[in-house]
Amino acid sequence: MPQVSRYFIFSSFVWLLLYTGLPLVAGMAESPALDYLAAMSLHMFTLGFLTQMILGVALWMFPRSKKAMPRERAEMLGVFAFILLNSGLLLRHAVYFLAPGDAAWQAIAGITQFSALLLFTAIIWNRMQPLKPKRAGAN
Amino acid sequence: MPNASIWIIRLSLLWMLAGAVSGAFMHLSTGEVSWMPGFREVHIPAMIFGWMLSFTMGVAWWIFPRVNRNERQHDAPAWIMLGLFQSGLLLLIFVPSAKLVAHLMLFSGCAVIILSILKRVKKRGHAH
Repeated sequence: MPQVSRYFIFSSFVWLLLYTGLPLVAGMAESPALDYLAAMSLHMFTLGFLTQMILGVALWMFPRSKKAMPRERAEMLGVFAFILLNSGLLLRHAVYFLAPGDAAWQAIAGITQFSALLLFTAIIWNRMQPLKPKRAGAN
Repeated sequence: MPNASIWIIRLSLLWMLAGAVSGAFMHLSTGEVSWMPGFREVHIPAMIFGWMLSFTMGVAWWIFPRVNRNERQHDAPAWIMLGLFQSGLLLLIFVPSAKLVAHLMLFSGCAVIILSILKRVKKRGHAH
């Protein structure tokens, strides 16, 4: 499994643990923690866990083709996408505490995440190639 | 990879990007443009139906074992799902009054792909 896939998958597990673990803490805390959860938990699950798991597995499982990006460059951009995606996620959480309601910072976090997804799309786009026609007489 | 899967997955990547852009600008939008849907109205369906569900269906169609080898090129159910899903999504986002029809199309797309993949979910070692 490529190193970058391991990063994505490991990170997705961390976000899943946070997503499932935080309500336990919130259950013992006062309402601000519940407000925080209501606002942030959906992205912990959908982007932090689901999307990162998908990206990690796709970078590992999708077939490599001649048209695809060279492996070293793909790996490097993948790591960059990983950093951007998690920075964007963490920034959203930081904004919640440090600059609540600041739309500009939320947009910056969103654009950081978008950039990560754009990099992933560029890496994976040409790794999908049509089936080769079967040769006559081949089993 | 089957052509249908390539198209489903590539379109799902485009929906993912559209969903991410709309999510980023959701908090910045101040005014309404009459003919355009709001960022929130794009963000959620694009991410749930356009990205996650479509990507999963595309990969499932590619990776689940075929019942028999000759079936390899018969991608009609995947193409039908693709058409229903894309039309349903566009309707859901751009024509709010047609929400019921849009959800019916999304449901039908899921049903078509599930019914045709069901027979490909096999026990280990079970071959035709």
